[in-house]
Amino acid sequence: MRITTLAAGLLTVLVAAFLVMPAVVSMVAGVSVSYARGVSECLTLDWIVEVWRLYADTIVRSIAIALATVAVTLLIGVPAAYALVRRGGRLARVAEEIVTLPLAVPGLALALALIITYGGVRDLRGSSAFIVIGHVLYTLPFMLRSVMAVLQSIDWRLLDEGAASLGASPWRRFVDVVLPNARPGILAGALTVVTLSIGEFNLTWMLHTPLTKTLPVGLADSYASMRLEIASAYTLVFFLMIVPLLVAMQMLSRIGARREARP
Amino acid sequence: MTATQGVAHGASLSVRRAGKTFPGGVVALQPTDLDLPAGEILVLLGPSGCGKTTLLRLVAGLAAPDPGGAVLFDGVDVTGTPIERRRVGMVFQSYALFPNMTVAENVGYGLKVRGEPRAAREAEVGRLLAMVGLADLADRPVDRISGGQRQRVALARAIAIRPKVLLLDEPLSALDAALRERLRIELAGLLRRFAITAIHVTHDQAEAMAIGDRIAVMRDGRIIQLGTPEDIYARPVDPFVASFVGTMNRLPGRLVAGSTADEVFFRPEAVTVGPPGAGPLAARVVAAIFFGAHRRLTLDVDGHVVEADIASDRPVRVGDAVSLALDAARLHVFSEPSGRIDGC
Repeated sequence: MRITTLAAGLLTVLVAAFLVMPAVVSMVAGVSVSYARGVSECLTLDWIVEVWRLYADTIVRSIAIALATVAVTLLIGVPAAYALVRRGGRLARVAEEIVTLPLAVPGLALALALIITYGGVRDLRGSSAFIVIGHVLYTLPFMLRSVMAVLQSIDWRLLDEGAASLGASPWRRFVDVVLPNARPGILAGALTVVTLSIGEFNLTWMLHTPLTKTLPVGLADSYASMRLEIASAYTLVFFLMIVPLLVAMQMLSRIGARREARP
Repeated sequence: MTATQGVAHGASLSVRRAGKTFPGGVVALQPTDLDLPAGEILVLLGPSGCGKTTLLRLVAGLAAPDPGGAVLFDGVDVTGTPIERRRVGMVFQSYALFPNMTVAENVGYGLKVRGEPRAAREAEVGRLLAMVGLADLADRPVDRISGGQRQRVALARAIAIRPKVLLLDEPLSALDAALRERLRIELAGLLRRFAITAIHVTHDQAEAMAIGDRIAVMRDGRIIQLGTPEDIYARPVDPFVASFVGTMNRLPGRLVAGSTADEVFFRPEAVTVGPPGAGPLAARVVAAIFFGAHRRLTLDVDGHVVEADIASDRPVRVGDAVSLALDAARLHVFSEPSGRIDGC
């Protein structure tokens, strides 16, 4: 009994280490003067400064695109989720499936379809908005699912009927009662969308132009053309951006679970 | 004392041939007529699935009656008016309190929606909370108060808009038995003080007796009997009502020769328990449960179960042979075949 527990623990640590090591090595490489000579040599922040000098625009653009994407998915996704749970039935399920379809299609294919269809519009093709469109297509199902799930868990229909009996119009019911109580799900959806948008590579790689590179595209570029330390420092920057978002998501889902557990 | 007292006592309510058929053809409510004078409290009583909640939702405006049906408040047809413009106060089974608001905000929401100025709103909310005994919980979030307190918040919130009709959908059923019993009396008192037209839905006959001015016993989507609690208890129209309200014994037999009914019904209090030979029916005590002032006996009469009450100081034990006499004035017979008498 003892021995099997110990063995299981050891195995878990080994597997975890195997999975985590590459990330750690990469991050350490990003602050090493020379990766080839090892960590013992010296640590430096020069590479991170260099990354900022070379790729600041991609970092800023990625954040801007993520914010634009989350704004659009909120604007479309929240009312759409409400409409879908309100209507219910087969039609709503079909609509949900259609919106979810982009998840099943490879990002490259989706990007290709977008380029074939709208690539002719030169101003759109060359702008970051084109990437935002791709990201919205890809992230909308996550927002939709998250909001629909929270609406179902808060029993929106009962709250809606309660507010209606007190004289509130459908719009006021939505704003005063449904939205505030759906907030944990909406926030979780928004964080998921931001995280996915910042990390998205497949679609973005096809859709970008030399003037609209995002962080992951820049990463690929640095892996291909820069020295290892810069690419690693770049990865470190990416981690620093994405980890707080992941932690926030985890905390939100825990709050949601606690709320549901309450009688 | 309060604005809710003395001013608006609510509207009179009429329901005309209102039925409800759900998609798929299930008839939840047969075309039903109902008249409620202003200020009366009506209880819809029946087992689950009997149509009582459906009738309540038709009156509320949460569901529309089948074509031909109508709902009138003070003689005005409101059938096509959505709930938000009907001015009905609704207390839901699970209360439907808004978790994003405090107790006071919940109670004041209806007034806020109506654009009532803040000061007037706060005064009214304060008065209502005092009335239901929750004044010191005004700023609590509604998920930090007990079930009984939530129920009172829901009631205060529904009353705040000075509704024409107050509708209560099994408001006590989410509470545990002891609390339910206490709140039943409290709720009956509050409703009397509000003096408002109200419909209260329940499947609990004791609750119906405590709260209703009149009771409508429902089954299979129709009202079977409508009357005061005393009427329903003393003069049930059929075996279903007789057995659903209070305890009812049944024995095979005929009241008079030539009558078609072959069963007689009687309440425990119509039975006099005496020593063997004193009464016409011989019985044996199967169980005796102590209730304080009285003892409820379960008796075996020729293989039939009869329940009767005796004073608890009488020395009757399980296994004793006794005799029963029935009060002829309190026997019921029903001409229709009694058939199935439980469930909908």
